[in-house]
Amino acid sequence: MRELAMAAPVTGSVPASPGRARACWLPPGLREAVDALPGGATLYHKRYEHDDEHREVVFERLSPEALGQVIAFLRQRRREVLARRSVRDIVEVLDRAAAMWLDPAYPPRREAIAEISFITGFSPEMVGHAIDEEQASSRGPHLVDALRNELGDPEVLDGLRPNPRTGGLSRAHGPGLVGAIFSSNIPALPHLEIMRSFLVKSACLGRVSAGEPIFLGRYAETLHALDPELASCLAIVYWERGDDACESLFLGSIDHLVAYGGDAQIDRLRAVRPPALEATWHGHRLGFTYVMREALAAGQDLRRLARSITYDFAIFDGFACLCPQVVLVEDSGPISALALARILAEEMARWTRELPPRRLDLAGASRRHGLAQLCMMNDAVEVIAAPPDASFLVTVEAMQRLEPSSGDRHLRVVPVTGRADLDRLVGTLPRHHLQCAAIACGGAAARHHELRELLAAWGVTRIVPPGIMGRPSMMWHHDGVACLGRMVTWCDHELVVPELLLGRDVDALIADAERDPSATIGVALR
Amino acid sequence: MIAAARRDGQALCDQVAELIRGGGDGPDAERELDQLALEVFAFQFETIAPYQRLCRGVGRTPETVTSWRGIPAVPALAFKHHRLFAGAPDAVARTFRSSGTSEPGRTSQAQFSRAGLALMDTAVTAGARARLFPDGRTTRILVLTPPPELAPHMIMVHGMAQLIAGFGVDGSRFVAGPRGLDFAALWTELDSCRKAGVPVSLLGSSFGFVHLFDWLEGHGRRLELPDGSRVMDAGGYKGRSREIDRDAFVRWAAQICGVPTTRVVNLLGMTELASQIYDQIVPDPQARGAARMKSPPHWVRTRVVDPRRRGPDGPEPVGDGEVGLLRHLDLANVERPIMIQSEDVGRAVSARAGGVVQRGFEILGRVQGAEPRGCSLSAEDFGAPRARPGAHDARSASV
Repeated sequence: MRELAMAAPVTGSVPASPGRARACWLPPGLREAVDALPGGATLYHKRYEHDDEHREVVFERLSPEALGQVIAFLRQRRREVLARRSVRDIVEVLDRAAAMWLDPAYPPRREAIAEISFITGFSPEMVGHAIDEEQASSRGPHLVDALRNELGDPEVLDGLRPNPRTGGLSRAHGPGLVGAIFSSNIPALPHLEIMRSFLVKSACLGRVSAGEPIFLGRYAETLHALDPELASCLAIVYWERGDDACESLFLGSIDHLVAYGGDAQIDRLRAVRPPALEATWHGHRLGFTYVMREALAAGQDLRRLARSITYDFAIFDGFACLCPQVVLVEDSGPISALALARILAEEMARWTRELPPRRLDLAGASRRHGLAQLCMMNDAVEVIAAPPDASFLVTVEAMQRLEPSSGDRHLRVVPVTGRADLDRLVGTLPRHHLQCAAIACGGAAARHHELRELLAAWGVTRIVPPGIMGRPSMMWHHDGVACLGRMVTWCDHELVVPELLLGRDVDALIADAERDPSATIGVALR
Repeated sequence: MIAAARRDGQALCDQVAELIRGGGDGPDAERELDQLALEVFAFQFETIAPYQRLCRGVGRTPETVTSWRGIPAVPALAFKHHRLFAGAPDAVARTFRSSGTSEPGRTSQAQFSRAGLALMDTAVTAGARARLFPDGRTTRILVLTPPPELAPHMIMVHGMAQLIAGFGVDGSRFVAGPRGLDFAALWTELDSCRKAGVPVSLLGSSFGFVHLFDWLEGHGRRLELPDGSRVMDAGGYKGRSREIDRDAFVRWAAQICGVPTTRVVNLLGMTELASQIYDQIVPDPQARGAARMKSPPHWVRTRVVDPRRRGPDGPEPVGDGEVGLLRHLDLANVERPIMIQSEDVGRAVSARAGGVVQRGFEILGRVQGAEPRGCSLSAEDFGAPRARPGAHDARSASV
């Protein structure tokens, strides 16, 4: 039977040919070693179909022996390369990689946009936009600021650095080998975890997603072109779901796991990982937009507000955790939720032109049209806009409990009256599911402050004005976690006893103590 | 039009039954069907509130629709969310249900009044006469499902009972009981039919046949059903047996039962439809054997449409050989929306027989959810259902 799911991969055993993109990437030296192993890497392809077109991507199945070799290689390169390079040096390479990807004329970018667009269905404009957004926040100064935000002084990763707060010196080490399991819903995002690994001088072993197998390999090539030595600390591999041998070897060999995916995937990984393996989880998350009545008062620029809100719904076509699920609108202002919804609908139509939505396959079209029609049939739902091409959907409805939308640019406006509604809709949600909240307050700073304090207490991990929800900075504590900070292990050299630190020139004290670091200053042994 | 809308459902049911019995081969058949479909549509627009809202939403109402092709379709999934019945609650005589897999606890429901049941029975009988029993033979009908008393909500079982009543000889019955099917007893019964020369019609769900055939093969038995015997399966596999390619099923059934492949027919039925669509076997002397396609009865129109191509009447039909979604106009759906948009994926096909081009379709599968996977919260993970039509299994089998 014909594969009907959009661009769902069909696996075949035809050997790879030069024309096909490759999902996996190994540094050349390692590649040769793996290829030299009998049965080390078995190539096969996945076929991605859309209507009558298809593309094939080459994947490879590594034997456990080969995967073991990859892991050993990465560990060795970490000692030989990353441990000896300075953070500044690493940041510079990552910055140059970002600059290359931001260049519209960079050929791998153009090819990646076409390939990712075909495979994921995202429009080329959206993929290009995603690359722009992701790489713009991957520039050197952002990387340094991210380190500063979580570690204080980035150079603690290069060597012991004076630490005035401890009255001594501090040193931080990354975990050694970071293993990352990627998802496919945000195109061109996975390089984030490569950057984070390298920033803490850890090698990175990534398992690419079959849903978006293009970007990682391309990005690895960029690093390789810029700095083959640094790139040799990276490997992108793949194993099929259910390949327990590879998965458990992977989980048993890495020092820190970063996992993206649905709750089922995260729960499974939690259960099967070695108990001592530290992990950073990026499971399902939910965001929303909140519009205070003050934002709808006379004199407010509603058009601009609507443009910002709708951008958050349009980006990634609503399929990212960074996208809001609903717009909660305080319905007591001069402009009703319904009236705002009409303006939102106009702006959704504009984004349809400027950032076109995903290409629809038959299933997607069936789903989108079906959803719009179900909304029309429901007398509790007011359909504000449901264009014939199902490119987006704007509805107004009451809601008992905040529930996820289906993505696909379904903008749901939910009128609320105030705190009681917010308590019911958001306050009852599990903390670990909350992520971003965009708040429009129309200048009502005091109420805004009250609200953000409340949301932070409930577990919201990022609060923004509408319009930048899909564009987090490197400095954000991603999902409420210091992602760099939690990976490192600290070593503090304490030179003085704490009571001496008070009211003294600590810098001078440290300089003094460094003349004889083993002398205990300021206290006689009893 | 307004006058038509005020007519009661009973009168429309009678009129549709008359059209069904008329055979649909008169010179004005197409015009009569079109006119009656529009009358039924106008009636439903007035009497099924969610349907009226849908029609207004897509901008096609009895005032603007001029042909059956423009009648708005209800997504089959909507039967899980709305009561779609053109009558008062106390007019409901029977409710048939089918359950999906992805939303447990949510079932599709189709309500029937007495008049609606009678109309469905007319449709069942007429459809079977044309496609299952075109030779006019009566047979012993053995149905591999439980009887209506044990499965009162299954529309397929109701239809099978109609076939027994209309076309079965003595001894026709439902062979499954509360504990399932006794294969050994069935074998004994079929073998005695063989000895007595009594032709048998074996009817059942596709997965039921797989289990039966597996049992027979496992016991090294092969049926030699007498001339005139036939096999009819319906409903697909639903994950309750392994899936078998259509052609392979036909060959297997023919070989195990000892009937010609032309006596193995599949039926498409849905809880959301009162009528059924059988295989039509078009003799094809050039190819080996015959072409097989689904071909609706004369009071049903099935179109293979692509929702991505929009015309004034909604989604446009695809061309011959192209793939799309099946959309059914069922005139026997007087009390439930007459136009149903299914999630079945099909291909429009045609075959030439005796100089006449026969048009039909074949079923390829069902649309599958295909969303990017990742960190965005999904309702399933969150414990709350969300309206996501692609993810549900609303289809069930009926006769």
